[in-house]
Amino acid sequence: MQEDHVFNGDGREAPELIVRGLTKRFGGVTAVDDVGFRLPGGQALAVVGPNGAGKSTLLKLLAGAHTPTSGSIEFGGRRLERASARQVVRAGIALAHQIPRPFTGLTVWENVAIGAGARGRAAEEHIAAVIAECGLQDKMRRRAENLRLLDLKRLELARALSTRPRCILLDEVAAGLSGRELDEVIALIARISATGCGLVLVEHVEGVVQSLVDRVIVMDWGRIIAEGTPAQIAADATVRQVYLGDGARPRTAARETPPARSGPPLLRLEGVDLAYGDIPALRGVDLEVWPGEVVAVLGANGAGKSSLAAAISGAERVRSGSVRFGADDVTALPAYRRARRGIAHCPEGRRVFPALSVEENLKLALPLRMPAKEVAGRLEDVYAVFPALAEMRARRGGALSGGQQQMLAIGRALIGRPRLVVLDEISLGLAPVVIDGLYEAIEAIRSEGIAVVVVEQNVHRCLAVADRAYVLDRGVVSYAGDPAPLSDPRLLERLYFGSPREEALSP
Amino acid sequence: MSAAVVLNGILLGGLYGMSAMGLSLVFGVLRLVNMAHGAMLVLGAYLAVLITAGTPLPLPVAGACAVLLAGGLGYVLQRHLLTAMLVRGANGPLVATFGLSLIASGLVALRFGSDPVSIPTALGTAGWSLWGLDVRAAYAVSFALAGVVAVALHLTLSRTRLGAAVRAAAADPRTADLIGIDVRTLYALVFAVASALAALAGLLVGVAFSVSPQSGTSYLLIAMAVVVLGGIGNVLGTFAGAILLGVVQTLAAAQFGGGYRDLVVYILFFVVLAVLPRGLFGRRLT
Ligand SMILES: Nc1ncnc2c1ncn2[C@@H]1O[C@H](COP(=O)(O)OP(=O)(O)OP(=O)(O)O)[C@@H](O)[C@H]1O
Ligand SMILES: [Mg+2]
Repeated sequence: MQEDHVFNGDGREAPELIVRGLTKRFGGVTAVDDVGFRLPGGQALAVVGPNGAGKSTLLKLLAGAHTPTSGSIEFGGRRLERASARQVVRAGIALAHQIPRPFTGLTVWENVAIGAGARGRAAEEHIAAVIAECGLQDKMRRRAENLRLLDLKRLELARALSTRPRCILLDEVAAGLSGRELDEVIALIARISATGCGLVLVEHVEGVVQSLVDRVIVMDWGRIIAEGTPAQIAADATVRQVYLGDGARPRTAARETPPARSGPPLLRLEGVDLAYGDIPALRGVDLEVWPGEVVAVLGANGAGKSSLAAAISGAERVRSGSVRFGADDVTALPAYRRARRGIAHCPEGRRVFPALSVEENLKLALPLRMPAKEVAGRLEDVYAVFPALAEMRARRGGALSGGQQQMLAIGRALIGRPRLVVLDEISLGLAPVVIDGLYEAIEAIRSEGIAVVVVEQNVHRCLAVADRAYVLDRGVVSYAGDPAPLSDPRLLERLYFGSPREEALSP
Repeated sequence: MSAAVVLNGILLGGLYGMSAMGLSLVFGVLRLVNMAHGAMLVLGAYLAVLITAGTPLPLPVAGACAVLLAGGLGYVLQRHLLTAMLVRGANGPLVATFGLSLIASGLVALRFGSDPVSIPTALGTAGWSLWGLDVRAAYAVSFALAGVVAVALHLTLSRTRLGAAVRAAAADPRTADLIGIDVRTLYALVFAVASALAALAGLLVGVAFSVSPQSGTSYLLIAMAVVVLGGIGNVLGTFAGAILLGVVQTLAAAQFGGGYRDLVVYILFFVVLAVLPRGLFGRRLT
């Protein structure tokens, strides 16, 4: 079976997509405001902009998931602005959502098969080919609710591809990837695009945009504020200000005075083993964190970083080994009791409560007995860090943009004034300028004596603030100590994938 | 005559609403079809009988004791039996509550025999005249209580922080646990409230009509029909659905004779399930 066949079923040339005056209002919020552009058949376009700019809403409008308030969408001469999502799919447009919501209870295969629609041998071969292309062949029979975030994103992509689209809309499918895996996804998207399938890409990672498209649209507050080649956009002053931030700024130098590591550590893991069924995730992990310290946890996808975060917070029970917090052994304590003792865990993939308002989501993390006045004060503290949340305090969590949900999840972890915060992939899906703010916030937290464990793909950001770093390789600590040497990509690669397994390097 | 029938139907609906409130709550929050709901209702009535017979306490106090006892029993059951099963899937608790209901009615039958008993009180026989229509006092009191309970539950769930925690624990218990919510205790609390409300409903049924060890099943069915009508986990909807059922049932009985009372419940149940699977007022909580 040829590759072209996998992506672009009938090989017909992709039609032109023409968008005019597209507007979408949710109550008083204008999420997309008078947006227009043309995408000639088979070309690639990126849409970038700050969190909440309206990018996902724009893609959902194009995919028929939302009905526009006004404006028109034309694809190959057909008007689609009133079409249902199914009709749009049949017309050849498919969307991979930013926040994956697959059918739980169904396997990966079944989820993809539903998208593909057709039955029979040919259809099955097509499904198998799509699953293989998306790197899910080993997880075909796994149920969707048991997938980790990155595999969920792969599944979203597979679901979109299985409909044999002639124009594919990708909403942050590469978020959270780095190194080899990022290159793989970029190569996959490039192949799709090379078959003549139209491509609209939303992505915060600059590298992805640059290597895949030659035209970029920048949105802010629902409107198009700039348009051009990736290079033109990167040089545009307004875009730098509202979106990119001053990435050129030298990284925050490591602190002059590293925290005095006197006294006992705040957190100590000893010989921790963790497994899901019979798949081991952590083996004999030792880790220590002192108050006022930022500790980075690095590693390839699947190395066990999120499992380590879960072992610390109690989201997962350890098989053996111990977790001590302060003076106590908390190994046997359930997550909620560890949370009440001051361990906050901002989990990968946001996990805000979609039916609860922003304010309710935040207040959940505070003890019920806390007086109303203090609750109000704590809320204001969070809004000071994330002013965007203050404006939407009454909005449902599910009606926030991806980045806004991420801010909410971080705010929820910090509102209880923990003694230790574990931040798992927090920069995922955030605009560069917001990530800047976030890392400033981490420094502020540290200076209050709170310990921070940062799990990140974004190695450079993370190492810049870290006092110490741990690297995990297939569940084993392969490095512990000074972050500085890790700036060398060759060392990092070796620690990530451990060429021949060496003795764990010591600090 | 018709106006009196409708009014009595509305008021009877209050009693049905009380009977269904706990089932709706447990279904909405714990995603658990509590097959022991009817048995808990019956147990509430018999506990009150037992306490009034064995102690000098006046009926209202004895009734309150019965309601509290039922609540405590519900707490213990959920905390130490059902939550652990719930973690492994919804089938375990379904079967377990069915088993519990059999045990409970068996025990009641053993102690009291299987003849119906009613709770003797002046309220049971009293009647008022409202706008010239005859109204049974027991109905009117049930209706008022059910209305107060529905509104109080609704406000607690939607406006308070405790209610937000319950909704969070219902929607995503793992994340709720992670941010410091004691999910097991909340679940037990919800089940306790539901059990106490079932017992209160049983008390009112015992005053207005009578109960027997077997009547749990028919009240469970009525409660299920009401929950389906009103929308799962939607307590105001439950109350409204109960009133609707009360009116339709009373009208049908007046029109075609008392034998059709139960048939009407089943027909309404299936029609709503087929046409409006989310109930008349939509789903909440989940
Ligand atoms: N269903 C909804 N109801 C109300 N407001 C909404 C709804 N969906 C989105 N919004 C608001 O519309 C705005 C645009 O949201 P959108 O998801 O399109 O942003 P985005 O550009 O994709 O941001 P991000 O980079 O964070 O994913 C946001 O302010 C969001 O809160
Ligand atoms: Mg988005």
